[in-house]
Amino acid sequence: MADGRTATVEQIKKSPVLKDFNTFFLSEILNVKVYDNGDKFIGYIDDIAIDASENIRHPYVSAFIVRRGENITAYEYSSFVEYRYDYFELAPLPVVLPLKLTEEGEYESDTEILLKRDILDKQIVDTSGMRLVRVNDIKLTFVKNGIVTIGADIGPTGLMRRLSLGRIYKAVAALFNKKIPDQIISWQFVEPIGTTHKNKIKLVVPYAKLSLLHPADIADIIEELSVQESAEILKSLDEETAAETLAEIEEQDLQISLIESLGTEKAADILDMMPPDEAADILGDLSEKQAEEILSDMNSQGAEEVRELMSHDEDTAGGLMTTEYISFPETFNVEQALSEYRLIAPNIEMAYYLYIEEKGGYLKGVTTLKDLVVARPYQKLTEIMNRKVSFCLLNEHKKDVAEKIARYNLLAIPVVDENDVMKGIITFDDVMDTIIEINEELPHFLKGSE
Amino acid sequence: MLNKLKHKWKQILIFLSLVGPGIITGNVDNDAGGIATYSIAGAHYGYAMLWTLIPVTILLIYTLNASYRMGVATGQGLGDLIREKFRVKGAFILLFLVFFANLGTTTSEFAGIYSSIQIMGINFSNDFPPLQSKAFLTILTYLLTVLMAVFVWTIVVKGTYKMVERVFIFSCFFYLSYVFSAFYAKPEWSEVWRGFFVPTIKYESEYIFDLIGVIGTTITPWMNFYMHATMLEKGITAKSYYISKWDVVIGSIMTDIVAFFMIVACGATLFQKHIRVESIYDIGQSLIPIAGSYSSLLFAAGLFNASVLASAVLPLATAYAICETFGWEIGIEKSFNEAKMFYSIFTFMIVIGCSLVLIPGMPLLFIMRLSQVANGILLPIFLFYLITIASDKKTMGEFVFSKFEKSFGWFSTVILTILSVMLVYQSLAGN
Repeated sequence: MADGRTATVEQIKKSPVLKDFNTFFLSEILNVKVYDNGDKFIGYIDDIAIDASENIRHPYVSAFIVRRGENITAYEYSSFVEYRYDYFELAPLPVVLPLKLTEEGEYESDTEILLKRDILDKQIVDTSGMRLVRVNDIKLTFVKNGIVTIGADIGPTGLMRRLSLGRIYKAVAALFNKKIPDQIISWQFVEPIGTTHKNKIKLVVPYAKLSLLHPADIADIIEELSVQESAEILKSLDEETAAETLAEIEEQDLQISLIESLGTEKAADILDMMPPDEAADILGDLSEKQAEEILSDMNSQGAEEVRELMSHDEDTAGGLMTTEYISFPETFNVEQALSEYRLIAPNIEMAYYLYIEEKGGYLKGVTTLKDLVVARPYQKLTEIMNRKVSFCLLNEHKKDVAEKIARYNLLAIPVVDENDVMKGIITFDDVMDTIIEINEELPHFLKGSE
Repeated sequence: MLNKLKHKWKQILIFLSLVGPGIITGNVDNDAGGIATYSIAGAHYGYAMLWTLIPVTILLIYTLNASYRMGVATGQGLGDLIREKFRVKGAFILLFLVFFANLGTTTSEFAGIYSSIQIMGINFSNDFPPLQSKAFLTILTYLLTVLMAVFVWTIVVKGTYKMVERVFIFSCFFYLSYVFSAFYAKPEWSEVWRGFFVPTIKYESEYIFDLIGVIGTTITPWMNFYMHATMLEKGITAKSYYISKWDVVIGSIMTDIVAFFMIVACGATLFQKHIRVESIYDIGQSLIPIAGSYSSLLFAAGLFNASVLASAVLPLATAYAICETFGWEIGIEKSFNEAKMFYSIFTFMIVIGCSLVLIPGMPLLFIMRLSQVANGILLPIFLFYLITIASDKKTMGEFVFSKFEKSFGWFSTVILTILSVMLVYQSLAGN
């Protein structure tokens, strides 16, 4: 008890407990000296592990990693005794941990995240704001039965704190009478991403929070990531979400790179879930060999439709159209049509216009869902349908198609071949792109951004 | 017919889009500061500094290859990697230095724009008498320089920058005029080769200043950031690395071949005639052998082209690197409110860069040279970061530096550090 260090410990122990000490930041606890319950110095805090196995909003700290020289040791949370300013006491209990020390001298586990190694300074997805941010610090707090992670600090205060300028920053802000709130993202909205770490987080439900977002939002996030990271995320999503996400990606180059890095099998699974016209668009930009490989892995009916669509020039109605539309034979009455509608509509994007075909697939008329619903059940479809259908031909240029849709204010326009046999429809959103393209008259990649 | 033309056009565009990041970066590298530094090296020392191009080229390939491999191995940006490896403090120190070095280089690009407009004005003064009035010429140059700053800012914000970049890259034929000029000047080729293969070192502070300038202008941190971003955008992955790594080698060698002929052209003209380069205007005389009385016009056009391209690239690359490192929103497709820092940084750099050269009596040529020396002094620090990441097995996987590559890097870092220390020491002792 006579040596200098112990004296310091005693001094610290006498120091008052800091006021706001229930919550603390990761950057504050890292490198704090650790003593055992006999006040013997055993190292510095190197990292903190949290248990991410259960999908709870604020996971608990499960272990402390203590470094002494080259050696690191993990201590289970239950060995924790006391934490004051620059003093940390642990009872080094013999513990059973899910963390295993690998040969490279790192802890690894399927259930634990190491906050410094895996989260701090990394990019995460803020699923509440749907954006990509970098973690400047992590806020933790003592609760009745442990320490929980509150959230990730992504604001300037965190950055300044890391630069050891936190107090100065706050003082300057106070000088200008400005309150700078910490920008903390609650842990429930934190989605770690990352493919670089060799022991990358292999949790039970990877990207679980991300898959709750709308595909358009996931696409926005993916567009900011590298191809490798994006492919990783796409792979983890279920095929339907992945397909919708892929369709939402605006950069065509990125779509193609993603398909290439997904591998044939996964790419085929995802393309199966996409509307055939969009699948055809993407495949049309791949090399013939690659496209053929993927097509042969897709389910045969879908592949057939996609092949058919791919055979048309991209700039014509045939290249734009989708083969997914709703049509009924002219013999149907309203009741039959409605019950059929309930069966097929869920899988069809454009389910408002209902086309009436003669035997042989000749386009005869069109009606709308509204007309169908308000009509009496026994009425024939031919009675309620509109015979004056505006349509376009397979080889009509997309500019003309766009013009027709705009002029007649349509949601979709049917496409027929030279014999009046209906082949597909073009929806207005597909033409919206065309109108924009016409306006800009530039190939897409020239409009690229940094 | 129209369709066929369209098809051809598309093919050309696809070809252009495939021009590798290495070659693009190599071309942007010969900017205003580069032209000034190489020219001065030739004008002051004849062919005596040519030999430095050999180690400099090797080091250039080495650094760009390191950045390339990092991109391939991780798919992450350079700023990302630096932040994750060196944490906030380490990243802050480097980015802080890079910011000021790049601000200096941006200023040198505007010095290039300003000077080239001025030279063109003087050239046209015979055909357009009002230009003979000094006041009118100065006001016009001021206006046009500010206009160029606005233009550069606009192409960056409007996102048409990529298109402009391609246009500018292809006007690099200007550099060919140096090659021809070097031949037309009929240099003593045996002396050229001796200068190229036999190292000579002078222990004068000015020589060391120019030496660091040559190194600093050829190998810059911003190029690494720029190339890294370009390659990631093109989605280069491990599979294509073994082919595309040659792109870096070709790009680097192309850069330094241009540097070689610039030095030879200046050595065969300015040095032989003992013309002391006092202003940018003097450098133009190195093109007399090929362009005669049009030499200064040709020179101004080339300088203008190189400066404008780099004055867009530098602020953009800097804003990109800083925002990536600190996790701020990036991208011109975002609104100002979404990406405040991104817009602020590059706008600030363009405004400051342009304003500094408009201060009357600014020594423009010296700014160009000094900014390159600043980059040269920064280089060993940057190499430290680069080598540390590239040697990290966990990050790099199979692309990790070999023992030899690592030692080569550390060796170069030590040499560069010694040079910088010598320069600082001599300039302090000299005063």
